[in-house]
Amino acid sequence: MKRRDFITKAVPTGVAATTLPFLMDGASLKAYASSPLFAQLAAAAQTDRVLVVLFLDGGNDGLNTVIPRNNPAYFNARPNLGIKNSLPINDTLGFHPKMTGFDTLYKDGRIAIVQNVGYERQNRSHFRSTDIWFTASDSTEVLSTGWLGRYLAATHPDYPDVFPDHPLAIQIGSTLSLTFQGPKSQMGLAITDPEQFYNLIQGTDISGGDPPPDTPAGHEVKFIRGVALEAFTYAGPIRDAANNATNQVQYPNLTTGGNLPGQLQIVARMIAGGLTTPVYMVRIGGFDTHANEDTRHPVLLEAVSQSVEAFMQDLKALGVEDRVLIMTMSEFGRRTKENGSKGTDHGSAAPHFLISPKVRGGIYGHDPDFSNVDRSGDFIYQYDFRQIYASILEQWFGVPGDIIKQALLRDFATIPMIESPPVGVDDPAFANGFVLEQNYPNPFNPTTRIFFNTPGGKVRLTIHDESGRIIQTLVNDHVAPGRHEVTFKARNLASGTYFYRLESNGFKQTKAMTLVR
Amino acid sequence: MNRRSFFSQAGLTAGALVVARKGGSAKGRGGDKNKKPPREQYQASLKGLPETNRIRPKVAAGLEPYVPSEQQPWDEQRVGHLLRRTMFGAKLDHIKMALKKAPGEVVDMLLADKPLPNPPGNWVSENWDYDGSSSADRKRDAGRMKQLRNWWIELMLSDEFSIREKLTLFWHDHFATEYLTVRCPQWEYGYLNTLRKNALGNFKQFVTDMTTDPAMLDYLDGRLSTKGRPNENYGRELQELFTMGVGNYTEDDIKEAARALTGWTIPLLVNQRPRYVWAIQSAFVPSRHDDGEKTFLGQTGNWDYKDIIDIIFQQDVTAKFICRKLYREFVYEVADETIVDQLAQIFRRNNYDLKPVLSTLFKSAHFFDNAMIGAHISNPLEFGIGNCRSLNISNSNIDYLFLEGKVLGMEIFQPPNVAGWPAYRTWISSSLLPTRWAFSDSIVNGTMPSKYRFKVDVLAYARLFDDPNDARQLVTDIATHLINYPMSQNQLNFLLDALLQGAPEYEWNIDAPNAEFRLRSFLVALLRMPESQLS
Repeated sequence: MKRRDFITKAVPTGVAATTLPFLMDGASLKAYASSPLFAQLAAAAQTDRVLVVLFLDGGNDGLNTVIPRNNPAYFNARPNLGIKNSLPINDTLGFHPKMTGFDTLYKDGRIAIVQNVGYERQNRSHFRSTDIWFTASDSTEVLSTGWLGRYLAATHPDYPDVFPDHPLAIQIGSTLSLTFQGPKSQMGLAITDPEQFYNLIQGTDISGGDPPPDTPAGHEVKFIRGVALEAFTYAGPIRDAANNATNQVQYPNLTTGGNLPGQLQIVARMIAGGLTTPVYMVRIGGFDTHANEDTRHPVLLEAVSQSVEAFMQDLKALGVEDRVLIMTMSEFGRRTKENGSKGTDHGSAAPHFLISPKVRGGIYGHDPDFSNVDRSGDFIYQYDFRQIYASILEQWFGVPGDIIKQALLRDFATIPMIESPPVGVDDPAFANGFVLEQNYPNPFNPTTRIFFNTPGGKVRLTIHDESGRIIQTLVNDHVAPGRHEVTFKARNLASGTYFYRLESNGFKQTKAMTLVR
Repeated sequence: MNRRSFFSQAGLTAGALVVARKGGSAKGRGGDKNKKPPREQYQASLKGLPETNRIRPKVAAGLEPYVPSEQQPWDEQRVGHLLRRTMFGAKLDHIKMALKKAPGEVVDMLLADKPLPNPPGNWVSENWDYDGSSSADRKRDAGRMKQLRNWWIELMLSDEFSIREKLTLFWHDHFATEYLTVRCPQWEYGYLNTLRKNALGNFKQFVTDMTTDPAMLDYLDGRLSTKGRPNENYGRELQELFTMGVGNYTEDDIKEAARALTGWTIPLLVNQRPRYVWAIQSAFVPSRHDDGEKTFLGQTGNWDYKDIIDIIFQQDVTAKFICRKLYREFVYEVADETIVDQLAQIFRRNNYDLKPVLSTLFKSAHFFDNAMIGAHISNPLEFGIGNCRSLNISNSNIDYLFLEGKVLGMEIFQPPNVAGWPAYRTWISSSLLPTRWAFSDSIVNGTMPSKYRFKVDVLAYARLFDDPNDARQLVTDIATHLINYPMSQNQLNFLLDALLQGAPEYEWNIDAPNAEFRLRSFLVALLRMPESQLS
């Protein structure tokens, strides 16, 4: 069986558009990671697929981005800023009217909207919360390496002693963010424009000379020499790639917040021009709309929406659209209630977007819940932002679980939002006789039966809620080989989607079931 | 080198590519309101550098005064260290003058008070009369803003032997505002005056002045914040960035501070849309002030902005927060917490007067320790203006120096956000480092666009040294002057090659026809060395 098929099987089809934590976490892939074939294929997949991180800097007002358009509580909270003419997504939600590009992409099934993304103990400092997103830390811990830095370091342990042919990550801009800081060194480089970058390097002689002394100054000299060397190494390949491709569509002239269309144009050319760099980062600023949000926010959303649409069209014309995934990030959403200056202060959870022809388009998570808010009146997060990271690493890059763990430091339930990379590998778990069958009856109330097959040994069967928490452990014991049946009775549980997961001897599988009271 | 590269880069950065918010200058702590994480977490988070990559200087010396010794002599290098850290670059005549004085005396000179400079124009005291539909008004303000920033660059470039402009820049970074948000040149002038006036003064008074400063009231929305409809923007940053640091207050403290700070606004004198006339002084309007009871940092009362500031300055963490920031700017990125604690005690004992803290620090054996020399990554203005000053360039183009700062990520009056510039290693990237090379090439060779053109008089500069006809001596002297880092024999040989370009050493003569060309090649090579980015 191909791995692709395995993953498809692991995800109950038909429920992809609902909330569905994908509990087949990193560990399940760990078994395959030992196979050299798998490692090879995983590496091949990594070089082919590209992640573009789109940073909405300043704290995007998610509530005026994906709008609960029929909810009176929304208009109560936003007497001046409430948007009445949103572009309908479904019966309850709509895009901001300036987001026509996103509307089109969504209708094409190219956008996965993840609702209520945040984390436990939301920090409302821009700087601290940005670091939390960059480093994938808990709110109460301070990390000094970034999640993409750790990911790239795990897959390229020799860097920077050995430079690969192309950069591991490129941030369009003049400095590199904390996201790309690895344990040993920065894992990417910042460039503004390929041609200028190349020209600046020409004619320079970097005389390194002697090893720097073990002093603070020596330490800084070592750092600067490293940057110089990196610039030298990559100036040529980057320029060549950018020159190999020409943008095929007109990008909008919307430069508010830092010329996002210009940045995306460069990224498109580098991808299509043959650079094998797997990660890019672009940024648009200005989302800190404490005042006059009614005029400031729409132009930003327009810039994001139109630029991304042009970028996707360009990638399509260049023949590389299937290789690219965009992920948005922003340090927090904004306060649900507007303030007295026609603006919004710092809030908590907010929607985010995954954009690609390869996403399973739709809405993940529930609508903003005005009845369940924190002390500031802001939304409780439903998805930890790191679940998105884990999902991307798992489903987009198809990397083994131990690498995901190295990047994210913890296990996170993933969300099946992306079609997995075409990695072909035999599935030893299936060959060994593991099967987790669909429960019966389904939907159920309040009792259902779960069937599984095992070659024998220690088995753990657990029930989980939507956020991945274990509600009940049904089996945690050694069992005989063969088919088994377990009855689950839902006591004191509300209607909704639940998951059951089988773990045995390295095999893990999860299926969804629906309780209807 | 493509000499246009530096400039095309300028055009690009202007519109397109802003310095990313942060390479991770987290000021510190997690969101747990009750638990105080250990102090080490501050350090770990600074500028996003992994702990394993950070070097903690092992410096035994403390804040006791530095006494010159055989091992740590009061020589060109150590004088240059003090001057480079407290001013822009180190001019040779300043070094010579300082060498004749005791270190403490030199520090006293650097910290001396002096009158404020004359303003850049009479317009600074006019009300802001602005018609949004008038391109003439926009042009007028753009012109005034240019005048204002050039006035400041000029002061940095020409200021004689004083720390003031360097400190003013430090405070601009600390109490950041952005011109593109504030827009009124008069307010930005007033704000710069508030920075300069308080740069060496009393920090509590500084915070009080800044809280009612028109530019700040506009930038962080204080002028819009009213009773019943408070805006939390300033209330948050006052605590997070300006005084205590993240983790030392709760979200409720922010809300309560925002209420107490209400009432200050900027009077709108004429409101005839699209024409507005704004006052250039802020005013307290009692009807806009929330005079109810507030609980701030555990204290309850009918607080106003002064009470909030009083309470903030009752917190020990405030002195430490500021002293740590001063240390990281003026000594080394990785703060020595023992020294920070001692400085904070001095700060509190002196009721938050800045001068005793700075004086103790700059006179200390700790500051002058070998380990600290050359360990600071120069910011773009230290690099640009500093090299122009050190090279004795008398005709530098002010517009060009402003642009240099902007291209390299330090546009004055336009920091990336309210946290100021992330600084330290974010000043150097694969994009910015080659751009720095292009800039230093241009001031040596005059390869900038003609309207900005100037270059160093290399012959005059070389003749300032004792024996300009001794190639080896000249290379060593210039390297010692421009680079605060111990150069190895290999590096000196490389530089000597750059000067001689194959000619035998004995043929070198400063009066030879090709001496100027060779000196320029040598300076280009020297300023491109990684060591030239340090001070």
